[in-house]
Amino acid sequence: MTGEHETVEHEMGDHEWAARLPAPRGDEPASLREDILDELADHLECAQRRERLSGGDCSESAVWNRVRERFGDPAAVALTLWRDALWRRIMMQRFLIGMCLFLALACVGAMTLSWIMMSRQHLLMLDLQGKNQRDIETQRRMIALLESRGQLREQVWKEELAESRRIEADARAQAERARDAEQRARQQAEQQPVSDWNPVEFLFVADTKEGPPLAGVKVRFTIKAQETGIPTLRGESGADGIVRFPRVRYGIYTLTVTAPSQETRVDSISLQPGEGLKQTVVCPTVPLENTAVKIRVAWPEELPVNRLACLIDASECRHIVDTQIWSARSNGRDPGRDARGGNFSGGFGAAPELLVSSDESENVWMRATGAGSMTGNSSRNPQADATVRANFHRTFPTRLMMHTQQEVQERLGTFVWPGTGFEFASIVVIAPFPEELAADPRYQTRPGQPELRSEIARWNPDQVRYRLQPAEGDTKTATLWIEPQPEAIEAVRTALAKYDEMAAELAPAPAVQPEQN
Amino acid sequence: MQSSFLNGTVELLLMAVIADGPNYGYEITQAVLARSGGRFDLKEGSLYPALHRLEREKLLESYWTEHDGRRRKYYKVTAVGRKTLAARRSEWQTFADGVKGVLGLEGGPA
Repeated sequence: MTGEHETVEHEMGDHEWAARLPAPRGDEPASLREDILDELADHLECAQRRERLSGGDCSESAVWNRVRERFGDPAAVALTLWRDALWRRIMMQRFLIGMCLFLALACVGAMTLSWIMMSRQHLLMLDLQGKNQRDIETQRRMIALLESRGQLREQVWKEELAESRRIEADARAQAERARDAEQRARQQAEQQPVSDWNPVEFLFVADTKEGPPLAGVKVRFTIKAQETGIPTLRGESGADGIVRFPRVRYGIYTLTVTAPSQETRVDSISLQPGEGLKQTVVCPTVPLENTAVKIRVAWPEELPVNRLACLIDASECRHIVDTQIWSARSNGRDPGRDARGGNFSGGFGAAPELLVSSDESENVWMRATGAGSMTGNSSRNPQADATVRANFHRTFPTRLMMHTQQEVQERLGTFVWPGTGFEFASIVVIAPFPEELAADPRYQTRPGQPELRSEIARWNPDQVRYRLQPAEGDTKTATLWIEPQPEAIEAVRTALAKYDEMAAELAPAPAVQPEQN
Repeated sequence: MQSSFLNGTVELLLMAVIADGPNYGYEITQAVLARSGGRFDLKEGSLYPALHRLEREKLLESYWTEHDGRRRKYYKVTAVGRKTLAARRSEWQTFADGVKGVLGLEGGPA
């Protein structure tokens, strides 16, 4: 028995099955493995004794086999016990390892993310630095440019300063010369007293200021002040184109120049004491055509031509020569003188004006100043006379009388058109005041006497054209057509529309209450 | 006997054996075999994991002694273990009565 027991002890002491346990862990209790082995070994020893006493095969191997058959694998049981004892610690360790791995992975991920962010930030910083560098370069260039401009500005300023100093020096020199001249003039004045009579000299040239001297120009130089006893000075230019008056007293004079072409120009000249005058006058040289004409207005068809007439200053026509106005008489006689009186009760106080009507009778209306009866002395066209006279009676401060062109020619002479380039100073368009407006008391200065507004437009010279239609057949009189331009026509149309608008807005006149005695 | 019938009852058997007095592993297995009339001839090694589990659950406690030059581990039931044993005995009685009643065996519920 002792030998068998020693064999078992040998097996158990070697713990051949105990070698199958895992390697000792650091956190394993010191006695765990020994306690498990001792407990199982005690059990197996007891079981072997039982089997030896059971009476079967007593060989050690048979006994051991039966023990193992009833007990099971001791190594597996020992491993189970060991694992059960350390299960909590193993799982905790695995959990810690897992957590460590997770934290490590998280750290790695965080570091990777941080690295990516830092890389991007680094790239952004590089980009920003590049941009800043470019901005700095741009600013440097701008500063350099501004500095260069500043230098340029300074240079310009210096040049301007030098120029200013030069101008100042010139001005000072001129002032010095002026003082010297003034001083000399004073000395001369002291030596030679101021005279009230001084020479006046006119130089007449042809067509332009650079033109040749013009001979045959007649001059009248008349002082305006009355009772001076100074006669009108007259003269005519010679081949040198000069008219000289050696002694002319100071005052305001009227200069009347008549060119060889019979055009005239009137100007006002003021002479100061102690001062003479030298003046160059540009004169026209083109001969006048002086075509006998009758005047017609080329009214457009869309206008109510029967209501329209033009008032024209027929005494003279204008002609522009070198920016100066020259006039040509448009009829053969002096209208102011010849037309005055006659068989009109009023008579003409001034140069008449021609009123060119638009009716087919080609009557010409003359406007005259003064007062007098108009009855029975004015027209061979009673209907037109009555209408127009009534309409214009209150329109002008003058009276109107109508005559045929032939009558006007007989009294005033034939109207002559000086030629191409001439124009009337102005043309006034007249329209009768609408009857409904004329009948309204609000448009009457006195009850029963209509206050008519007949001047509806004034045409400037640049708003009309003149066309001369030669005489046809046996007549010797040509026709001068006045052709209003679109701007002139529009002015008339607008005025007529205003009349119509006023008539449309006209409210019924209040009824007059009969007086009750 | 089918070993599946013992599932869940091994620990109850071990505690009942140990409740009679402190005992060690081999004796516990022999007591279970003897008290079951040889019906519960279990693998002896399978008892130890159950004993260790009961010890970790504080239902048993152990101590070591020296015997024939070997260390021997004794188990005894703790106060908590006794309460638990009493409760599980009652439960098992109820269960067994039910099973008997269902199977028509003696001792089943009236």
